[in-house]
Amino acid sequence: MRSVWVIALIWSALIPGVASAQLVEPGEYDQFVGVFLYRPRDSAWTGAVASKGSRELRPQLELEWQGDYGSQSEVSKNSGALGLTYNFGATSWDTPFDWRVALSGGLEHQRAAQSAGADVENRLNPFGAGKLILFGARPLQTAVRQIAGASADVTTVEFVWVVDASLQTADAIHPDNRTAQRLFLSPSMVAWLSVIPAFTAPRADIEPTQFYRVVLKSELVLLAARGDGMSKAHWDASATYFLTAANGIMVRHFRGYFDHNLRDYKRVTSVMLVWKFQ
Amino acid sequence: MELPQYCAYWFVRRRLGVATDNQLPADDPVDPTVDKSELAASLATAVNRAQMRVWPHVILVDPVRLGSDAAQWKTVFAVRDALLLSAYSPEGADVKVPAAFADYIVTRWIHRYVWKVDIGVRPLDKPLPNNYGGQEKRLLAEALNATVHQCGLTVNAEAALGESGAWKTVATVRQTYLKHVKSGRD
Repeated sequence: MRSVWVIALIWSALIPGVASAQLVEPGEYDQFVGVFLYRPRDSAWTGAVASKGSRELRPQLELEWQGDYGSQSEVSKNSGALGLTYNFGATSWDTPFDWRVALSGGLEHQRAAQSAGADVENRLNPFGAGKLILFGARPLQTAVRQIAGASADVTTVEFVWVVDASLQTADAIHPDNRTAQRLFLSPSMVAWLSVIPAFTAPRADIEPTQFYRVVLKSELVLLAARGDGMSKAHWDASATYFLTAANGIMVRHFRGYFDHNLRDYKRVTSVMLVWKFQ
Repeated sequence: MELPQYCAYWFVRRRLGVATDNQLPADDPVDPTVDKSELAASLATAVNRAQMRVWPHVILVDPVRLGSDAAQWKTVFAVRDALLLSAYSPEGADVKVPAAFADYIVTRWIHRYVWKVDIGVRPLDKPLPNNYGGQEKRLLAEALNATVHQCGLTVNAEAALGESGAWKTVATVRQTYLKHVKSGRD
């Protein structure tokens, strides 16, 4: 499985409010570890670490984790989740997209303050979730190029997407500062538009591989709490220019509400250096 | 039948009007009304357009050689065998020509499942899409295993599923199937 490490420097000048990075990359299912240094306006430099990934324990059963520690905001501090997920689904060449269902259960660790300025509390909450995931990929543009003495079909523009709808139980701090478990419906969409005319240098006995030169990515997520009618959304967009197959520079902007407390509005622009370790 | 034979069979079947590449092969008689010289010419054109490779060598079909015995073709398998025999590498005799056919049919299956496209010219290797995690790769392995069985071939399904988590590019998926697909019934 591919591991992606991102070391990021989030410049204070680009952060208009409280620096509360939603550090984990949306829509990516590979293992990810990010180490961040950032400086909120009128504050000192601080560090953060984020990680997301899964490991298959047995066929269709995965251990999944997500952690985001170090980013701070008014109410929600840090969180991490560890769960077991059972997956099933199908792929077919007769359908325009493929699907899978993921059923999860586990524990979520939350650090949160009931209100601004209150003491930070640690909570460990069980959660359950069900997710329907639709996914697809299409080459939008291809070209025939001469490579190593013969023609080859090269994808130049590719569109990739994931649409999912999840139901999840989660403990959340209500507007009246009371904590209770709620059921959240979270439809989301992630899309990538990739320009991939580049390929690794041909060698005598090894076929070159295309790699992403430019990746534009966007995510739109709704977090709707069942019962009290509260709903918030966030969006996330990034553009990455890869200098090589493994190194690139990413500009990313996200804003909105990212966690189940639905209290902290986050708005961050960041510039990141990206390393992919295969 | 093995992967190269199945690929050659599919090229023949497609010229005869059956486009699917996931069906059990059948040694049906060639319709006597089919112009076999024209069939040979169109087969050579189709294969040469595909630019199949045993990397980096391109594999071509000599239309003259293929058409030389066309009048004798009675069944689809006979056309298939003639197609394989007429394929060659312009770079020399050391190239394992049938490997290009195996490479092409597996590449074709992968692109149909992942990108929902029918390939023509053999595509250059590229990464699996950004939305492919471990479970998506597992679903792809299950689908490819099913396709191999539908085609009358056998595959070490457990080995393919086991390797699926490490797939990153089309080439790595293809390598799994070139390694684990065995010959099935002829």
